[in-house]
Amino acid sequence: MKKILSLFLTLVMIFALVACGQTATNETGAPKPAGNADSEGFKAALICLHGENSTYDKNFIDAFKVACDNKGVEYTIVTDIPEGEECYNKAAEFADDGYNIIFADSFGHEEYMMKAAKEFPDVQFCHSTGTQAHTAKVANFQDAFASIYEGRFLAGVAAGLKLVELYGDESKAVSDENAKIGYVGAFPYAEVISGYTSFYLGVKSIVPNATMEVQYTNSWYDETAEKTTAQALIADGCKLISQHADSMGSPTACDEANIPNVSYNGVTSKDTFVVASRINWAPYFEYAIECAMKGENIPDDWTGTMVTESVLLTELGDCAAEGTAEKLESVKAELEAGTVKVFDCATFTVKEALADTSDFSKAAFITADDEGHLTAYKADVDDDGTFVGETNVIKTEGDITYFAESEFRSAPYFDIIIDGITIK
Amino acid sequence: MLTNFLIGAIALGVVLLYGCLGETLMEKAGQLNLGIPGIMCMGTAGGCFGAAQYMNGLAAAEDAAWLPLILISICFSILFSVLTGLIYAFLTVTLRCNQNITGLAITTFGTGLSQFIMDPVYVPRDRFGAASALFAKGFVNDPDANGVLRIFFSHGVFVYLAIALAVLFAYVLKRTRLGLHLSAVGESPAVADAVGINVTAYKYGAILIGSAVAGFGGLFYTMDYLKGSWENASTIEAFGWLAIALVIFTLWRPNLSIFGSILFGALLIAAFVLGGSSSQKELLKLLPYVITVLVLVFTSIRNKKENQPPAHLGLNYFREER
Amino acid sequence: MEQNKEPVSAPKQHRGLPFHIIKRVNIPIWKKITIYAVAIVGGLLLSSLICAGLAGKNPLDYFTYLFKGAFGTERKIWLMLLDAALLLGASMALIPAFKMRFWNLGGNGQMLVACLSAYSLSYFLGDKVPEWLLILLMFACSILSGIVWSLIPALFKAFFNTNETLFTLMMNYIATGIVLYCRASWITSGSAQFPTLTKGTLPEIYNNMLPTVAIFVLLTLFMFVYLKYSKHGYEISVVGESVNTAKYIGINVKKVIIRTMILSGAIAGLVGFILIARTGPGLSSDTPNNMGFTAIMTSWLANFSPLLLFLSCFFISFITRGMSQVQQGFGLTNNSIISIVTGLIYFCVIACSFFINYKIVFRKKEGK
Repeated sequence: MKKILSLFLTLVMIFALVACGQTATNETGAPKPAGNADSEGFKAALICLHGENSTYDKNFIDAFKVACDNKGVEYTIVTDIPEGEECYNKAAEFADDGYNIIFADSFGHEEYMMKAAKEFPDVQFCHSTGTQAHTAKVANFQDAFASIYEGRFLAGVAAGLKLVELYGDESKAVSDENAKIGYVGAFPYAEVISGYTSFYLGVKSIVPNATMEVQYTNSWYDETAEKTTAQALIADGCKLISQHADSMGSPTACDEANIPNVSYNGVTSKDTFVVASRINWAPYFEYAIECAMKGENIPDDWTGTMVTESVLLTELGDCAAEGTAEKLESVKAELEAGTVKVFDCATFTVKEALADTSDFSKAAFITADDEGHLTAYKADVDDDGTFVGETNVIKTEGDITYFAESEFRSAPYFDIIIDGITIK
Repeated sequence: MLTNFLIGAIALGVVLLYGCLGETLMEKAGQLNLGIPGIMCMGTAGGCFGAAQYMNGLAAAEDAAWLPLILISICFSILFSVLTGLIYAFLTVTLRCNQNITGLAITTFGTGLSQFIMDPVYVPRDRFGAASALFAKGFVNDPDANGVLRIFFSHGVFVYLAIALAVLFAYVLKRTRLGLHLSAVGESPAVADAVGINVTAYKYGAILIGSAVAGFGGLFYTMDYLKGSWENASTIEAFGWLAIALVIFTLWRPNLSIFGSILFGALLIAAFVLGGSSSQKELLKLLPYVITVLVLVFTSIRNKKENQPPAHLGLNYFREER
Repeated sequence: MEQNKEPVSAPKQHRGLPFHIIKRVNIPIWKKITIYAVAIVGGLLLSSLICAGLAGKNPLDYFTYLFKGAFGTERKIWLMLLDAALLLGASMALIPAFKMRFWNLGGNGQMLVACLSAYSLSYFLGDKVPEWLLILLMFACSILSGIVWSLIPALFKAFFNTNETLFTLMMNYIATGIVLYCRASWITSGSAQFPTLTKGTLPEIYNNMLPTVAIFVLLTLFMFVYLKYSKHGYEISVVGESVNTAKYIGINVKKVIIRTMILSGAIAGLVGFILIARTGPGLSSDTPNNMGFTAIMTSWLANFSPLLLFLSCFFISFITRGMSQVQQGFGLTNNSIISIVTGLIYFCVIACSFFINYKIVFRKKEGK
């Protein structure tokens, strides 16, 4: 028996020697295409909160692979890294290992990425959905997002057209009762509020008397919560549902009740699917890798737009109204040209927000005219943990006064509940 | 909304009921199986695999017929969950390994393997919309029909199957020799062995049948409640743990399990029906677990013999130790 | 039991089989380690074939990555040691209970409430109280919360024989719910993230991991002595063997259960405190990282013995770190693979435990 023990120990030693002797073979990624000499030896890494099994992360993973293949760089993807110390550990390990650029995909990864960035000034750290890069001023740490509000606005336009198709009379007007839509949100903070407000404004541009009811599930992914919440919204008279939550709970409820659904992040193969919007991260990844390879500085905040193809709409579902494709094309052109702004202050009022006296009130930061249109708003752009707004984000370009979302910082900061939206 | 609330409560209750029935059967035989979450996931993967095989063998999705679809799904579901349960049975009954550890290993393994199988490469889900319509087909299918009728008659076949199984299990456990022998095995295997009951056979039988039944829960959830969509195993795994709690909550009695599971189902979605602030919702989400603890405490204080867990629960039987 | 029924004449399950099974009384430690080692190597080989097969790579690379992930750089070695140390702590929280056959599945919840109390002190008092006092308070509150969370199921077990497996399991969920409730109430921006704080951090010695490793190594040694040589330890093992025997020789079983669970909770509280105070305090409902369950495995592997625990925690930590590297290196973005191979390795080890507890004896052909 002692022989077996010594045999085992020998085996262990052999394996250890093999491990130290061999260098790891090509980790992942396609063979490098011939050409770009800068890409020799360049290594990129992506840190994911979950894995391919989550549509949120799959979006990042797919885009990352495309970007790295296009740039001809070696890459590694690591999954299931929670929003904690482990993110720092992994980022530091990659830096130790000679990686040139490291990306992370979840909001809570930010401080750990920043911590690693401070320790490894020669490596680029790029964080998606983060908020602190522009105040932290760490040269090799930056945030990125996309103007997804434009995508949601367009999705809202499609939704509005559907409402008109279903309930509109000859003059394309929809009764108040039928102009009610519902939204299943995850958490009550800026990213979600910006999302549903832009969606609502899109609907409103087609159906001026539209109202929206919002309910939160308190989770990014909770199938039963999202389905039940959607059912509650439908039971409350909502004629169309959209969501900012990752599961299929809400589309399923819509399917069962025969209510049109506008989705996020992926196509749902249901009869009630109208359209979905999503962020395409590949342009950012390619841009950042390009800058890193050339040794150029990557901006603290980078906001992808429809022009950079960072904001995409999926193909229209069977449920979409006739004429939607053409209308979306024309609105998209106007958005790209700047003749239409999603958060045009003339299109919404904030009287209720001004009258809000609760602990969460934004009234102190709002300046509005007599009709309730915003003239100035101090948004909490500098995320210093105090949740106090300090930067006026209302701009005027040409003759449009608008809330400049994602211009002062890439991650959204629109957190006002505008009139017409009720939170349940 | 009340109608939808009750229908939702029944649907989630049925998911839990399947897991609960499976675990009850095993616990009656003295086996505490913490691998039920993994087995439920594997049953789901199996059923979905079977459904995909059937659906993709058809010329068009509309050709799908109710009976072959359901039968094929059930067969594959049973196959996968029973094989998983077999690993547990072999390790704990034949090799007499620690039940808790083995169960936890089964959960780890089962959730991982089910997730792997459900990859669209192995289980293509493009025709699941049509398939799920058949799973969910009840006697009353119009979403605008009368509320009371919908509450009782709009469910898919798996809901009625669950209730039928619960009634059957209750009857068998209480009133047949088979059931009494099973209870004896769980209470005191030494005594049961001495009077000629084949302890090993009963344990294996309970585990395998229980696994098959538990597996239906996840299958129902994926194909009926979520209309054929699956992202990962985490939701069904969570249901599995709740089902284990439910076994105690309903005192190892399948007929009580029917009501207990619907109550749990209702509590799970109550937070989202009632609305309220984020923090209030979190408190509501806690309720099923708090109530289970209260039931645990209450039944142990009153200490009525018929409400206690099987005496030999969690302990392996080795004849020579008798 | 029917007295007049003829008992079965030969053991049914062994009829016709050429061997039977005997329970082992004693097994030398080296034999035990060898059997486990064979199981582990077997499991790893199986795992390498599966991973390599799925990724289309060389199985030998699996072992390369495995060792590289654990030993590749100084940082990696420290992280592995840190993981092992935390597991040691979590296991030591469970072992006294397990030795008493009190199946404490509530490790996660006990650690989490300790984390919550430590974090909340830093959150609310961070700027108002000097650092040394803050750390002391955090330490005290963590220990106390861990104790409370363990004591509740313990009391009910002691007085009413309430099933502790399920009680502690439910307490995990309740703990998570409380953390989520606090998050929803305190974080008014709605972003659902507890901010990372700066106050209430333990000082570094060489790095921020060495103190932790030292603390838990010392703790394990202390617990080894406590369980083996003290009167308390003796009482724990007697209660674990047989409650009736314990009562006959005058041991107050209720007191032992309660006292042991207080110890268990205190250690869990210590782990929770370290989790929060080791680096800038950060909290999520996942902070214990499921160590409450992993520790069950390590404790069982170590046969509830503190010395063998060094081996089992080190091994599990090595495997976890190594497999993460394998997943990275093989490009497996589907995280189910890791669960599958972890489960398989567990099965191998569990199955092997049969050979540790039982012996197969072949019958001679006398036809008995």
